[in-house]
Parts: sequence; C-alpha cells; structure tokens
Amino acid sequence: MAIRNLSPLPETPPHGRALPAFAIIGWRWIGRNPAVAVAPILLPFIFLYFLSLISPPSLLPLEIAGAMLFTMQNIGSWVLGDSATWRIECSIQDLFVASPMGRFRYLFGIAFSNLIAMLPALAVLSGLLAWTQYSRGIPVPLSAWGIIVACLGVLWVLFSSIGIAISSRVTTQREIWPVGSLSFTLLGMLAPLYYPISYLPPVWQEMARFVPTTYAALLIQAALGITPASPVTMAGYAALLGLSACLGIGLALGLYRWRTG
Amino acid sequence: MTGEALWSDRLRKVYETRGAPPVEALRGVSLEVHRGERVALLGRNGAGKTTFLKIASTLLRPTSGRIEIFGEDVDRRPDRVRPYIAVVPQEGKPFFHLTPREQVYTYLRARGLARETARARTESAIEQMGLESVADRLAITLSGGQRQRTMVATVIATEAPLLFLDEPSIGMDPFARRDVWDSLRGLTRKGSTLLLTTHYLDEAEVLSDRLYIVEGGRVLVQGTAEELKRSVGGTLKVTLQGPGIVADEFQSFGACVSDGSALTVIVDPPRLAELLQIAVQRKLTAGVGPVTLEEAFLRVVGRSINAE
Amino acid sequence: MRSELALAPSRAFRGLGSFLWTEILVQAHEWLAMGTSMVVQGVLLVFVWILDPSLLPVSFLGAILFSMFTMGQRVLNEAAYLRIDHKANDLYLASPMTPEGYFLGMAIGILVVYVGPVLVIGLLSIWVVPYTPAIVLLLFLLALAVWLFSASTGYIFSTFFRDNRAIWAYSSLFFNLFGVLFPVFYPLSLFPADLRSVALLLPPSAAAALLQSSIGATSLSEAQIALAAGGLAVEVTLILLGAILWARRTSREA
Repeated sequence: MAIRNLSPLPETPPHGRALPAFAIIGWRWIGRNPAVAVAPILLPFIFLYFLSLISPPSLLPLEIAGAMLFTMQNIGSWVLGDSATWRIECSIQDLFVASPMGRFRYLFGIAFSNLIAMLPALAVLSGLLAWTQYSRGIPVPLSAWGIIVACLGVLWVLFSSIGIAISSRVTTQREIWPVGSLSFTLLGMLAPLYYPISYLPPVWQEMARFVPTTYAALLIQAALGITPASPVTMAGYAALLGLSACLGIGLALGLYRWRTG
Repeated sequence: MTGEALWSDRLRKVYETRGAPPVEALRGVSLEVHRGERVALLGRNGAGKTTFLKIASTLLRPTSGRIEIFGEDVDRRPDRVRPYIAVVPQEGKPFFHLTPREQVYTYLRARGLARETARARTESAIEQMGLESVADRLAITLSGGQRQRTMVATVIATEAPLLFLDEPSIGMDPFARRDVWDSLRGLTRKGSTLLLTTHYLDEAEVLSDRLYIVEGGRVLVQGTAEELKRSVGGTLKVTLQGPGIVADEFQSFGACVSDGSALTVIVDPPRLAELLQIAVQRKLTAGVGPVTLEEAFLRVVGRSINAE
Repeated sequence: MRSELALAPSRAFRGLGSFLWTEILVQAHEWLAMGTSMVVQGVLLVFVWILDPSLLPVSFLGAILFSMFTMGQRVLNEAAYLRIDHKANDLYLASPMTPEGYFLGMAIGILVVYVGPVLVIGLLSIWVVPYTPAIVLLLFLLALAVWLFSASTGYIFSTFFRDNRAIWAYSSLFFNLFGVLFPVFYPLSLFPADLRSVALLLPPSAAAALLQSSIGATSLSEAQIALAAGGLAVEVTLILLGAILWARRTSREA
C-alpha cells in the first residue's frame, strides 16, 4: 500500500452527544403534533376513569401510581416505533452509524426524546397523586417520591431497552404497530399495575412475578403504604428491578443491529 | 491517523439469506482513494457499489478481505474511523418532523460539534444546497429532490475528512445536481476526500478525479474519465442504423459494439470520411459524436449501464 | 377533435371487488395485527374480570362492538400507509377504479380478514351473555353500523396525515375516547346522568347502550332508545356518504 500526502487530519470530536440533538428532536415532535403531546396525558386519565367505575374508591392512589408506571411502559412502544422507522423508512440510522455518536448514545437519544413526550403526563399524574393522598390526610412522604422517581427511571431504561431490542427484529414499517401493541399490552396486562397483586388468581400471581413492572408496582405500593412490605423485601424488589433493567440494556445492546453482519 | 484516505484489498461480501442461495455481492474488490481525491464507483444496479460503500462507511461487515481508512482497520476498529467519515445513505430521508435547518443542525450537534460551529455550518450548507426558501418548512412537505438535498446538506456540513455519497443526486433536477456537484468540488478544495457511487455517467465524468467501473462485484477497470475514453480506441463514435448491418464489415475501423438494431463504431478522425462513404453507399443512417464514458463502459462491461 | 378512446361505462363502485381481494391478500399476512386487535380488548375484559366480574356480559358485548370499531380504524392506518409510503392510491386512482371502490374495497377487505378475532370474542361471550335470536340479530346490525361509522371516519381522517408516526397517537386517542371513556365496556348507568345523551349520540356507546338494554343490563326510556337508534342510523348514513364524497374529492389534489 503506497502511503503519500500524509498531512495531519483536522481535529474532529471523538464522541457524539445525544442530549442536545435528541432534546430538539423530541421537543419538536410533540410541539408539532398536538395529539402526540395530548395522548400520553389523556390516556392514563381515560383509563383511570374507567377503572374508577369498576373498582373500589380505595384503590385510586394505587391506580394513579399504576397509570404513571403504564405511561413509562408506553415509552417502550414509542421507542420501538422510532428506532424502527428511522432505520427502515428513513435510513437515518446510517447517518448516525457513520459518525462518532456510537450505538449507546444513539439509542439513549431515542429513549430520551420519547421521555420528553411523556413528561407532561407524568407531571400531571404526580400532582394528582399528591393531591389524592393529601386529601385523605396521608401526604406522600419525600422518601416515597424518591422511590417513585427511581422506579419510573428504571422502567424508562427497561422498557426503552425492550422497545429497542424488539425493533431490531422488525423488518417492515407495517410490523411496528402490531408488534409494539402486542408486546407492551401483554406486559402491561400481566403486571398488577392497577390493583393489588392479591386480587390476581394464584397462578397469575406467580406469572406476574416474572414481569419487572410488578416489582416497580409493589415498591411504589409499599412506599405509599398501600401494600405494606418490610425494608428487606423492598430492597429485594429494588434489586430485582435493577437487575431486570441491566438485563434489558444487555438485551438491547446485544440484539440491536447497529452494524449489519 | 495516517495512511491513504481509503484502501481495500480483496474485499468480499456474501449475503446469506435463509432459504435462498447465497449472493456474492463483492468478489474481491481492491481499490484506493488518495487524500483530497474525488473517486466514483460507476456501475449498473446490483453491481456491488452500495455494498462496498456500506462496508467502507462501517455500516456493514465484510465477509473477508481488508479495508482501511486513514490507516485504521474499518472492520476491527470502526469506532476509530467514525469521527472522520460521514455518509449520505441511498434513499435516505430526513426526520419528517424537522425542517432542513433543524435536521442539519441536530445532526452536527449529535456529532459533537459546538453550538456556534454547528449553526454556522448549517447556514452554509443550506445555502450551498439552495435550500434557503424551504429551510424552515417541515421535511415531510418537501419534494423528493429537496429531501435528498437536505440529506446531502446534512452530510457536507460535517466537513468530515472522508465523505461517502451513495447516489447523491438521485431524484434531483439538473440545476440541483449542479449545485451538489459544485458543493462537492468545494469540499475537496477544503481538503475532504469523496467516494461516491453513481450510475449517471455525466456525474461520474464531471465529479470524479478517478473512477472505478464495477460489475458483478468486481472492479473491471480504473482510471480517469479521459483515460477510460482513450482506452476505447478512438475519439469519435459513429452510430449506424439500417438493414443488414454486420459488425465484421467495420472491424477494420475500430471497436464495434452492436446494440440491437444499431452498430456503434469507434473511429479516429482521419478515417471518418472513409467510414461515412461506406455508410452512404449502403444507405445506412449515420450519427457522429465524440466518444463518451458510455462507450468506455460498453467496451469494459459489454453492455450499456442502463441495460437490465 | 373527436376522442378515439372508447367510453367506459360509468359505474360508481368500479374496481371494488378487485381491490377488496387485493386487500384481503395483503391483510391476510398480518397475523400480528390480528392478534393485537384481540389483545387490547382482552386487557379491558381482564380488568373487568378482576375488579367486577358482574359486568362481564356488558363488557363482552362492548368488546365485540369495539372490535368492529377497531377494524374500521385499521382503514385509517391502511389508507394513510398506502398513500404515504407506497403512493398506492395514485396507482389505483389513476386507473378505471373509482375512489369509492378503492375506499370500500379496502374497508371490506380488512373486515373479511379481521372478522375472525371478533368471532372468537363472540364465541367466548356465549358463556356470559344470555343470547336470543333477536339479540344476535340486533348485535349483528349494530356491529355493522359501528364498523361502517368507524371505517368511514377512518378513511376521511387518513387523508389528513402526512407522517405515519403521528397516526399511532391519534389512533390510540380515538380508541380510548370512543371505547374506554364512554360506556362501551361498562353500563350506561355508571356514566354521569347529565352526559348520557352525549353517550347515546356517539355510535359505539349508542350501540352498546341498545345492546345493554336488550339484555337488561341498562334500562333505557323510549326516548333514549329513539335517540340512540335514530342517531346511529342518521350518523352512519351521513358519514358513509361523506366518506364516499370525500374519497372522490381527495382522489385528485386541488
């Protein structure tokens, strides 16, 4: 190989940055599509209304917390849609692969841009939870808020990872909606987000323990004093939740096709 | 980083698909692109151009062979290479919900460029691509050609040392194509290196310092457009049409290529009159023009670039 | 100058049959979408089963009606997808096929393929719903009306989309507004009294209220029955005609 004309190359940033770019991408998305901003806010409330009609009023705080978890779970479906659309329909992923951005930052960026779309809904639900508990004379303690935020954060990571992992196997635009709906609806149905786990038939209870969202629900229910649990049990739930998030990240990074073989 | 901008040695790629026989898209491609050069891969659809470009731009892994960019192994160390490259993918589309200005800016920010630099380069690229009038319109509302120009603007704004462009002017009108060509020439003046694929002969001729003709996953020939045209064996082509034309009758004038009802004869100016006299005697229709890359391509590949 | 083109006979629904068959072939591969169309309704049935099993007869009838609504909403997705991604509407509309043939062919093709999951829900409902021949006939007619309403609105809305990604958000909003907020899966009697007339004017909840009344789960006055049935008939007719006219109007850009 003949080497000649070896002037030094210009300085280029060695790494990309996800936050500044995907903050714009996420913000513009909800800003320019009103339904995209409105749907995640309205949907949990429509669902809460339905549940309040068919369940005892005492379950309301639990159902609000469930709606927050459900909102985070929905991110998975949106992330699946975005990562698949940008790869299949637009070939935009190619732009990012051939750049210093890196797979992890790109996928984090997609998850982050969708988190922006869900933040208004989470803020409204948090306010509703605080008001409901306050009006019952049992305000949500600071520690419980910490647990709620941590659980939501872990679920964001987990479900974004699952969305990304599934999206890597989607080959056509037509598959995106059914695959996303099927996967995330099933996951949402199995976990006791909107009622205590004790309401479920025994076999189902055992199945629910394989779904990470169950542990987030149990942790939050314990933090709010709805389903009491000892600190050791709560630590166990947290460990299982953290472990599932790590597995989710591993799965996403392992399965996601950044560079095809 | 040091080394040639791009160097490949016996690069092979075999696509394995379950239930279908394997397809060998690249059959040992060796080529090199020097720094500051504009090089085109010219070939028909399915020749292997895009596969090579995908491997070079770290999107696809080769089956065997070696490929280096600025001295780094693309297959083994893609992360070392990526800060120095950018690619316009084939049939890529900008983010539908962003404007061309936002598309270029967000991509530059994603590549780690500072806000001010990104802003300045965005404006420059938008101007170069003639996108000022639609710079603040949503990409979803743009025409196909405008979207493609947005993609090219996104990538040229990076000013990466090595740019890959897969069919960069596809879907553009002639004026927009010239804008793209001017911008790409400007980039190499600034020191960037370009590797593009195309099946437009005029684009390859105008834009490339050197070109490689690719067919069936192999490089058949390489050189400048002038060298390739000279290799045809003459500077003029005479296209003859009429009943009963036999190539053997005209072999003595130069290379002959029969394309259905027409026969193209490559000839040097001193023998043109003699050839035309025969055509008149035989009552054949004759057209005379300069040799172009089309004849070079025909000679090398054996059929037209547009042939199925 | 006299046209030498043969004048084709003008028929309003020309091409309906061929596009219907095309759509059946296309949709028949969408096993996942068919599964999904059952799962979402299934979730609501599960919630009812866990939290108040006494509502299951109402919820099952609601699930059948709402499956028909969902099927109509697939027209929204399909029409937008074919237009935006494939430009298939240009291909078909620049042909002897009429715009209404294209719209109805697509809608009926989707109906034929997706009716399987609805039949499964219908079979499961035999365990909890006290069916009589009259109720079955009423269910059939109301399900047809809900489907016609949904498919027609779906086609009209599809023409406004420019980006496939935005469709998901609107689809889920329609689904939740029409099917979960208003009394489709639960009895009309649980809905605020002041707003019941609104529910009786919306096709899915009007159909659900009529069915709930037929099995004795909700008592409706004669005026309410007239409002629900009359409103449903008028709305379905108007929206279907509107969709046909809209299909003609949007077949060529202004």
